[in-house]
Amino acid sequence: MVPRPEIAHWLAGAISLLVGLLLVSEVLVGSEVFRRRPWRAYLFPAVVIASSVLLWLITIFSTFSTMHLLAHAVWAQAALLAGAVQLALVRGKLTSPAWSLVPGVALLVSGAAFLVHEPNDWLYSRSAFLHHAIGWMLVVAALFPLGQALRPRQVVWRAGFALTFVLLAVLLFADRDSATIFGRLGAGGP
Amino acid sequence: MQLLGPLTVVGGLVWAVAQPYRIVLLDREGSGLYDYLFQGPLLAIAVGLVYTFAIAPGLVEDLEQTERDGSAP
Repeated sequence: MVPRPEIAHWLAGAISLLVGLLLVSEVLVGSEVFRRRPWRAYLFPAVVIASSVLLWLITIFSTFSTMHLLAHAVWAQAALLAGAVQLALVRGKLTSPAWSLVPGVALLVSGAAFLVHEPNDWLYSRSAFLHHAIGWMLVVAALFPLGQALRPRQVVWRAGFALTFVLLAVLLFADRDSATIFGRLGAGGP
Repeated sequence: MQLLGPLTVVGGLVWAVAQPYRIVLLDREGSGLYDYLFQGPLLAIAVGLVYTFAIAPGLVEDLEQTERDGSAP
């Protein structure tokens, strides 16, 4: 009944890909056009909040390891916080660009959780490699919301934030429960 | 912007061709429901289709409407 970890990660990859496409299209058409239909404006925060609920579910089933349980709880909490702030921004309850720092902190904390809960080094296995790669990517990507808070008119920050989710989707889709790092090329791992 | 969805679908199709063992219909031994529905290539194709048919058309319509409003005297 409970899906294997790799399947849960592929589902997370699909959600991340959808979020990435939404954010990329908002960058391309501009926020004014994108938010012309209210349901579209609410879609990104709704997907983020829904993903936090799914992460809480996974947290419940992560009883095989305290570190995994804590890491999934951190991701769930970070997604919930970022989604709630984004919802308040769309509703107009919050207006300052400084609120972009909240998704930044969420990315930073999520990246740190990836790095902390992986006990093996980069080349141990596909899973270990991806944990390190995703962790560092999220830590670096936390700079994009920071840039948005400081220079909200520069499109590069929003584009970087959007592409972060596309890259995250690619890395999550590459996850396998047990595999060498580069698959049939056989490089790295057990 | 209209190309994002089709490109995602094409990416999923290329992935399915490159790694056909991920598509369970071709090799069903020992596979459960999750293996049928939640393989990476299928999920990528599904996301591309959702974007193509549920999100992109409205965006194009609103973008054209905005351009018409902007060019109106």
